[in-house]
Amino acid sequence: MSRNFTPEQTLIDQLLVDDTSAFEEIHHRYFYPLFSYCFDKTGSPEAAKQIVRDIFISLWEKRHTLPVNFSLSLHLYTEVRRSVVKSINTQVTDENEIPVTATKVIPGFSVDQLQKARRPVEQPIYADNMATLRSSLFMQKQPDNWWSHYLPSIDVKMIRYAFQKAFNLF
Amino acid sequence: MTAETLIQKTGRYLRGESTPAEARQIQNWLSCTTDNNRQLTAEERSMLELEILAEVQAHTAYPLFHPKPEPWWKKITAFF
Repeated sequence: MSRNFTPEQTLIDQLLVDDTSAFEEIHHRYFYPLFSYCFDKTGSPEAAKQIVRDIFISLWEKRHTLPVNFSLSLHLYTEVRRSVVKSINTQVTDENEIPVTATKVIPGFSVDQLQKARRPVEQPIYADNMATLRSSLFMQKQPDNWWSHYLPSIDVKMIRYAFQKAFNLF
Repeated sequence: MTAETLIQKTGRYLRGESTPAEARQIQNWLSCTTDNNRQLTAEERSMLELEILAEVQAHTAYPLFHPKPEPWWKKITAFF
């Protein structure tokens, strides 16, 4: 499948005229973040797949009724959150999903877990990676004659010889 | 929290009848994302994409009603 760097607004405009390539490009860009988020929340790959599928089906069905100032990312963000709550609501009632709900979903509603949402987002720092990065960037000692790599391998004797030959010609 | 409480909470949230505290609790839960180390490989991701797209195509049947135009090289090949 060929991929491009078309802006989002152009893709939405193309979607309005039933361009299937634009729809597939939107799907390619957003399906994995949506799937990953849903899988993280529901704990079930099948439920996550179903949510993502339903969101894109709804987007295709409603393409002619999109508002003028339509924001695709905002739409997907709203839809995925609503769908996850809906999925959790049905998952809790389903007897097969009770273990997943008891071990994964319900502990997420504890105060300790919910306080994480109030903290600013932090990039996880992995000690091994940072140590490797530091050693590769700063700690590596350069050899003494490092400049010799960047200079042509001509010494003074060769230059003198070249000049002598040149002047002898005249 | 028990499963029954969760059913009632989410049901009220979906119907738009939840109290502000309940709505905040559910929205906070939705905003919490853990460090997800389960990364799919490129092949798995590609397979997953094709699988979901095939389901969408089967449901909407858009390739039938809005077929893609033929690429330029196919047209030239057909001409010769």
